[in-house]
Amino acid sequence: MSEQLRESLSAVMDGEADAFELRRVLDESRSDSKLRELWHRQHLVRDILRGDEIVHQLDLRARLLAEMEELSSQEGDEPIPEAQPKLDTTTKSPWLGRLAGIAVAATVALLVIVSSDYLIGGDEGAGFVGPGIAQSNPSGAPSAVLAPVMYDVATAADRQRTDALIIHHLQQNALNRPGGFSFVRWVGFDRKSAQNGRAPQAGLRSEGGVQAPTPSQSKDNKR
Amino acid sequence: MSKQLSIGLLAIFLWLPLASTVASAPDLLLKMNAAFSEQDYDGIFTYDAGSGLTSIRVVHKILEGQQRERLVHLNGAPREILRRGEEVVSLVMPGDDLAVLENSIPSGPFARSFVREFERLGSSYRVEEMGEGRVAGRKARRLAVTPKDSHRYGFRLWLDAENHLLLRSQLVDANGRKLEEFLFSSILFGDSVLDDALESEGMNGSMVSHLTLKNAHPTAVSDRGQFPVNWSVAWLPPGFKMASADIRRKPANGQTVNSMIYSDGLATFSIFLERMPEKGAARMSARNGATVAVARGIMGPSNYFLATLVGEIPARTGARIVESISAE
Repeated sequence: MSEQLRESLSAVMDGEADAFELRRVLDESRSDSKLRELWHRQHLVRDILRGDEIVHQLDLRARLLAEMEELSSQEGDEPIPEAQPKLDTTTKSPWLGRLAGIAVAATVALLVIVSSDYLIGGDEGAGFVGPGIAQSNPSGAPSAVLAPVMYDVATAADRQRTDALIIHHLQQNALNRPGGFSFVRWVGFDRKSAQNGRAPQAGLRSEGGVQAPTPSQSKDNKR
Repeated sequence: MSKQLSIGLLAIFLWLPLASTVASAPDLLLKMNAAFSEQDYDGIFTYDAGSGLTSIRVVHKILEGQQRERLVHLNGAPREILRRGEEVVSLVMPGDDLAVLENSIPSGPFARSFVREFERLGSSYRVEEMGEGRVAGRKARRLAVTPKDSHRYGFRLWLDAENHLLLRSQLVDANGRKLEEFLFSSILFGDSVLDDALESEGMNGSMVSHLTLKNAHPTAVSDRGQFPVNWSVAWLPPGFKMASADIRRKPANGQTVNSMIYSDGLATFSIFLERMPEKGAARMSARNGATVAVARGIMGPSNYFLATLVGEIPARTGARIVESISAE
């Protein structure tokens, strides 16, 4: 986003924009998600300064209600799949066949996908990289070396593969340390968001569920 | 006579401070580790990895010289894990991703020799006693395990004052932000732990999986199997060493995966290397509580590979490690 655009946005916020500037910000915001985020955040900041957080509290309430609904659907209000005969698999290598079927069952979107590049690249895109908006990489430009194979936005397949590796890691830790609390991580591994078919934007749930990251949060995440 | 007595008293006085240094903070960690497998206990704890609270019941008892253990997920997805010595059984509902429990193809699970090496802790962490606390109605001794650099997390631990079982733990990052917490709300010890509590009540429609650790052989790190690439990890945080490595096939698609576990005596991370999927993969970094996953592509001699690091270390450190991997 250009400095000029940022200035235009400030002007719009302050009610000092002329028709041309307003037009420009509106046009740009249609295609530029970073601009939209910034706009939203600036409104939030302004509203809080003015003391009228009420609009956003309503927002929050709506979201809380939605999340409550999700939660109750996870805790067994949904019909339980019909009981199947118990599978006892003491035969050799029972895992291969069966797991192929199980693995299809949903991705674990609770994993907070926090971006691609902020960890490595340092501070480019400073101020705008954080949970929730990290994936908006409008250029989508793949890195030079791995251009044919790496992309920036995680797909369902990526999440599924990663989840399997995470569970594998937790299991290995648990099995190699009997009685240790690594068992806790394994048993406690949570895939609840998956049932709601939550899209890659799961990042929005991160860090206390605040819609736009506060400055301190985005700082935390870049550290 | 009185001289003898005074020498005896002197000996006792000299010995007393010695005794208290023996029960030093790092020593308490050793006792805590032993308590996990030696004590009989039955309790309910909550576990919070940032994405919500989970309640889990844990029963542990030595029965006829054999370690028996049972973990039951009390809310959310029904899950149960039973251990009888070397046998591990998991009960999960169909569709639960947790069912990945598997035997590795060539050699069984990872080297059993892999245990926490507490003697190595001192180089990466400072362990200090922080007074007393109270957890689940029991008196607890508090320990702070502070990392000496920014490449690992710290712990606040509450150990039972009598038997040293871990009653509460918090995993914290460099800013003191809590990433994970584990807390007993009630717990019984010793004879109060009934044999029946070890038996599964069964779950209607659940899938039962068995795994035995008996025939597990450590795989030589040099065993490359059909994976024709030598990997080098150029940068590791100080104190981390490879604990085990092996090659296995993914249950889902039969793809070969090379995996390595590294540990600094307390924290661990795994590196998984596999052929780049046909459709490519996302360059990403994901986090669930304290566990981070970082994926990057790596150029091999003739193909691209995908490296994924999973572990309880800061994301930035994980990314730096993955970036340093190359094919030799």
